[in-house]
Amino acid sequence: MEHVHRLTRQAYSQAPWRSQTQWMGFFLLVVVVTALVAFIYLNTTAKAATYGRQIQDMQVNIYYPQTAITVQVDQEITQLEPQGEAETKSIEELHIEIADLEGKLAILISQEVIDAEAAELDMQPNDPGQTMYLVVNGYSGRQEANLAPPPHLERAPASSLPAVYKQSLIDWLKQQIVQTSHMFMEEVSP
Amino acid sequence: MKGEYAWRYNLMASGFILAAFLIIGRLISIQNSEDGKLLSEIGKSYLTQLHTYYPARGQIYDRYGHLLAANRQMYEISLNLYQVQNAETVAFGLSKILSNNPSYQNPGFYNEIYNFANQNLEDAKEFEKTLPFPISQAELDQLIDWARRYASMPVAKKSKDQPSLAGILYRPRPVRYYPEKMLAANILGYVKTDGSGVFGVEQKYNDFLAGEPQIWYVPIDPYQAQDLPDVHGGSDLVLTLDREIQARVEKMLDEALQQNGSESGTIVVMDPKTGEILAMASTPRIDPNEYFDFEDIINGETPFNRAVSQTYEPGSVFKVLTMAAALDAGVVTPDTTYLDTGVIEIGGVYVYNWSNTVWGEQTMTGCMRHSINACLTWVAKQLGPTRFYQYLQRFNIGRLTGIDMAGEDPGILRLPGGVWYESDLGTNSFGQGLTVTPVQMLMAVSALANKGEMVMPHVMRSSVTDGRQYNTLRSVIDTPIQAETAETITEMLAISLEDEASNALVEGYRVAGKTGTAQLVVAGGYHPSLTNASFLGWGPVDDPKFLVYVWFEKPVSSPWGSEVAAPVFSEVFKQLVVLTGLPPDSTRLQLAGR
Repeated sequence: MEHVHRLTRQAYSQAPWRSQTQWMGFFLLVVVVTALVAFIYLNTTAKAATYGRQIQDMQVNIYYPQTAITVQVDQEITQLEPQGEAETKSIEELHIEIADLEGKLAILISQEVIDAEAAELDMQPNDPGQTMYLVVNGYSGRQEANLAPPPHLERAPASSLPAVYKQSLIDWLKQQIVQTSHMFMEEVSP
Repeated sequence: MKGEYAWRYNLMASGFILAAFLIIGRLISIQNSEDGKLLSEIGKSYLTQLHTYYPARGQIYDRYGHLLAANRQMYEISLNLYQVQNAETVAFGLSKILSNNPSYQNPGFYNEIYNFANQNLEDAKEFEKTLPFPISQAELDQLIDWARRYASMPVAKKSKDQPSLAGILYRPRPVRYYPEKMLAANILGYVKTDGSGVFGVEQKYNDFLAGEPQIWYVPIDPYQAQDLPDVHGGSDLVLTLDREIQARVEKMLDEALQQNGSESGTIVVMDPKTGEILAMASTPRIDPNEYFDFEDIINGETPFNRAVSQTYEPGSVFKVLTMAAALDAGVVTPDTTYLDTGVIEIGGVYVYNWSNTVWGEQTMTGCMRHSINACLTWVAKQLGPTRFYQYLQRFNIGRLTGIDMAGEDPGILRLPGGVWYESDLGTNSFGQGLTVTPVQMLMAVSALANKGEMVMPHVMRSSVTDGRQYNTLRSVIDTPIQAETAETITEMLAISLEDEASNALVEGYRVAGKTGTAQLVVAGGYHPSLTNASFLGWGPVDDPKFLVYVWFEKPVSSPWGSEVAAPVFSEVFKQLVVLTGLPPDSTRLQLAGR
């Protein structure tokens, strides 16, 4: 009976080569899944590194870096001009330049300069007795400086989350399927 | 066969496994050793980069948008020890090029640079040094020019002998600059090289203007990239000053000082309805761009701005407050009479009129016209000390006005209950025995010119922060007298000026005001001939637009306010009506009636 059982087991059991093939398949499946996970991980981290670098590049354009007076490489002067100037100016540098130009403009229209030009043109300060007054309709006189708009109450913006953040996974899959089918339909029908 | 040589394979496998374990073990021991930890720490220091951002200081404008305080581009110089190749050249170059820079006159500057640049990298504790003061574009251009010349020299045999400015780094930095130079310097103050404001508006609003330097560590690791902090720049200020009026007033002050030989002078123009200071001229003045000359110009105890910091006995201009208080309290009317005998006794002390003149019977208007000390003493006695000092306190005498400028002095007012004598009631009534500043007098008298409402003087009209302009609101401090009293005293003073054909009158415009001639306080009493001569006036009477205070210290040509200060008031007022386009009273009333 035992012999019958053994023969039966042997008849219905897998051939050794088949069992080995299954184990190999299982092993390869693990390797493939691992490789897939590794691929996704590397892909994501590479993208993260790329975007991080892009952000850092953009940040460099905000603040002006220090510039060297001169640089010597391998005993040979490679450049005489200051090194490190970006092709586009940083925001900080532009702000400083704008302020500097505003100051220079203020010097050109300063009271001292205007008085000197008036004296050159032989102009004299006016006297109340020599002043004639005219009524000009709509003229409201010299306006004080308004350098910026006044403060106002800002309404809190309504929620502007994209729809994709509110959809469930099923809804998103359905949407993708519908969009894909529309694409195919457009290709089919000219 | 297989079993016979299996031991060889097992031995090799054991050997490889043992080697692997040894390697792994060594890796772990290195990682956990002291050197390994040190290496890890050094590595971390390269993970981030220190960055300092200096927000530009807010700019200051006059009321019409003319720039009074700006920022110009200068350069911050740093030395990087890793890049220095010739310490001697670097030290020599910097000390030579900056030899005319007043911030770098320190005789040890060369040694300081050389000692830093000549350090060994192994022994150095710091590898970057920033010079304390920025340099100008011209100085930077010189440095770059020197670098070019060194670069074109023949290469030396030893690299360390090759002249080079390598290691010097520069970065632009905004630095305060005043395009109008000395104009309104007493009001603006100045900014030191470390960025802190001194005196005036620059000190009062320093935190507001400066913004805050931001220091942060920027990660180099791209995985650590993060949002940079939002740096807010300093706020801009728009002052109440009118640049043209300020320039004209300063010029008239300087000319008057030359004519009358005074030691110093102050002229302040204020809008009595709003408290806005349109002009404030004081002597001496510095050029804030050359603030290092400060001690040569403003030395000893000379205040930076006399209008807010110099206290003095105001003299007869103070009588307007005494009379206003008495009228408001109802103890006198404009027609109340007083028989003047030239002297009055109070608290055992005899008070005399100026020049010992006897005026006989006078109305209150007459008392103001002739500035009779004895009459005003009598008026104060009618009020009594309690009411008199209550009114003075409501006029804010002896207290800070709260003007938004640094260095204000509250003056001195002695009150009953403290160190006070009955005779003080008499002397205080005509402006002696107490001290005030010009802005205090302006603030108090604004109540007379503004229907009883006393406004706070201020110089900031609005501020611009984060792209929004915030305007300063008019601030009424108190209503010490009624509107009717203000009109009454104004009319009395206008009539007084007209009756004596005062030098303060302005053709075409009705003005009110009072002269003041106060003897100068010296040790033990008063100087027999030296005075503070002043005039305080406002107009047009029916709708005051300007409140003007003129004050000269120790005039030489004449000691009297009526001869020295009153004419200047008139000239100032004439310029004000022209510069602001204010037509004569008749024209204005005619236009208003249309």
